[in-house]
Amino acid sequence: MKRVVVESGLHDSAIRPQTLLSEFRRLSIEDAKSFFSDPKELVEVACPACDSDQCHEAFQKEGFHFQECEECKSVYVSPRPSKVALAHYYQESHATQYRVEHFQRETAEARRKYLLRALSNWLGRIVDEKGNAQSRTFVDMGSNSSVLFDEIQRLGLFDSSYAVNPLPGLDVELAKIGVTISQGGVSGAGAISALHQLENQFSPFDMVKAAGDMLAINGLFFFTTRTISGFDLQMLWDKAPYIFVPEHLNLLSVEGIDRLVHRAGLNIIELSTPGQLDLELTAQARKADPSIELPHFIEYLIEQRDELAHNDFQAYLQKHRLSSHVRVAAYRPEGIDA
Amino acid sequence: MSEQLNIGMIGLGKMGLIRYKELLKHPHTYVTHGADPNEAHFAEYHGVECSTDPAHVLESDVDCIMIATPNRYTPGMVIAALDAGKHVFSEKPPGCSVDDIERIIEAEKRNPGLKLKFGFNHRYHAGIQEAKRIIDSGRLGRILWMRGVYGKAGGEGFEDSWRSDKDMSGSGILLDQGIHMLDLFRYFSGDFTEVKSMVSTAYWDIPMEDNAFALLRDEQGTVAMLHSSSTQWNHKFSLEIYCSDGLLSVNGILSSTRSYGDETISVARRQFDEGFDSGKPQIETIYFDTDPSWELEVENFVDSVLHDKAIVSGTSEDALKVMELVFKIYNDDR
Repeated sequence: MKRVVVESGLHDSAIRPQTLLSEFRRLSIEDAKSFFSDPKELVEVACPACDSDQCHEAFQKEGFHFQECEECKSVYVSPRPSKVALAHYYQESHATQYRVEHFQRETAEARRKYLLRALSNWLGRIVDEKGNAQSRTFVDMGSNSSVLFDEIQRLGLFDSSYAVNPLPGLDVELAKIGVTISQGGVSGAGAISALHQLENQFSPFDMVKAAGDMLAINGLFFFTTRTISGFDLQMLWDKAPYIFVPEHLNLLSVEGIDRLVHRAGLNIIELSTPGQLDLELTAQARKADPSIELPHFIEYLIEQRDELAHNDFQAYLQKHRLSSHVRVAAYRPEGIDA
Repeated sequence: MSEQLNIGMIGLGKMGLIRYKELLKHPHTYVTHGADPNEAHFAEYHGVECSTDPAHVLESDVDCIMIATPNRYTPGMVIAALDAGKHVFSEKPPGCSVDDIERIIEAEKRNPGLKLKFGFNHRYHAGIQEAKRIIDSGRLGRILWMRGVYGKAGGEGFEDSWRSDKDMSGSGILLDQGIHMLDLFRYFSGDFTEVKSMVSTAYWDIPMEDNAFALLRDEQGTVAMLHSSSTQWNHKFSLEIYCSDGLLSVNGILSSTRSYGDETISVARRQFDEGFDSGKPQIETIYFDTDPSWELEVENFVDSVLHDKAIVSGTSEDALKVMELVFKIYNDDR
């Protein structure tokens, strides 16, 4: 299996400017209180990665209980809002509206430059290696902007593009570049992407399974998510300021993600953590919240060493699958019902 | 042909053993006969009828023969195996001279129904396969130049090994290891017509080169630069390919001792116009955890024999062309 290290000079402020992130976080927490206020409507779940029911409470945040799976070490919210409640939230909340109208639009070019062009090139390479050349349909699940489609279309690998269950408010933008919106699903897809969707799903298994069902044989599923195996989340744990419900119901471990994908009937080509921001996010959180205590070594590394050392440390995290940004490429094998 | 291939092996030393272990894992191969002058090797080959006489393998009823002998013996064994009606897989190099491979090709022509493949396994390494896909996709544009460094330390006992015996090996590090890099240059870019070189015996007390430096150019103007060394005290494999729209660099090659480091491929696009500093593009480095080269190479040979498919990689033509390059490099510095 492949592992990946990426160097692009990316800083968090380029893709998540503090003012936009703070407002999005404020709206999300506020909306969560109003949309999910009744504890009786919350649902207990087993580990969303490996399906084990052996867990213990890791921490509480904004009234939600985060459990740690005894088997695969994934961290997840349980009890959690139901599937119906989440769907309602993503259609109607102020946070969703803010995300589409401000967050995504105002960071679109930075995301294109640092993330989405590289991601589409990666997708192209995997299609060259393993793809189904006959199936030329591309699908993005839960789209939140049109930039990814722009970049994918540049590759010239697909004849048609679909956005399955995109966030509201994107219809015109997507139609302008020839993307068809589907609220159900598509069949025989050559490639499907789901960028940072897994963490906010009621059931990650259902999502991976749904992707598998939409794929042609040897079709490819690409997804990114945040993993609890990453350095910043392991360091900050409940103090990570950018972890909140309902955006982060599932913080699956690298090992849990591996199990999840196999449980859903797909075979993994790559599972890597090419994140570039773990140390920077840890340092930022520490600066903003003096109550956070980091190990002396990490404090020393942050304060006494320069960007070169920080980049080397981040590269080490990536190389050993210890960054919190994970990306996965998997395919639907022949003869197995995904 | 049945779906079961009986295999004989001539040469049961280090390379023979690597191939034997792959053949054991393959569902359609069964190693029945082996030959090597050193009886001490026999113990590793459980259930294989072994002898010190190659005729024991050549005259058996095996379908294929794997040949892993010192260079001096390779052409004779390959020719004898082909003339005995066996499909042949042979380690590189295909002898000690261009004349050797030409004689092999004559034997191949005498036996048109037989498959012949040479073991240029580096083509099947994960990093090289990834590089090949990227270059063939055209996304990085056309190749401008390549730079390859492949070196090992020689090590204790190097001067006394068969590889340092000119009578057995024919020549030095270029024919032994540098030939892989030359083969890869050809794999990516085709044939080279111009050769400039400097070849030296810089350190070891051996009657052949321990370093070879070469510049090659093809008819389209693509230049490749090679350094092959047996004084590379820290083992090194590096193949850089720079293209009109980007670059890739394969570093390290997975080996049993991991002495060449992690096997990685770094890929970047030329990003003058995308807001990145000139000379500092976004680079993605992929690490490979396994070396599938031995398995894929054996599988490719077995598949060709079982299903009468043409050998497309590691052909006698590939072997001839790369031997011609090796000897052009030697001859340019004479």
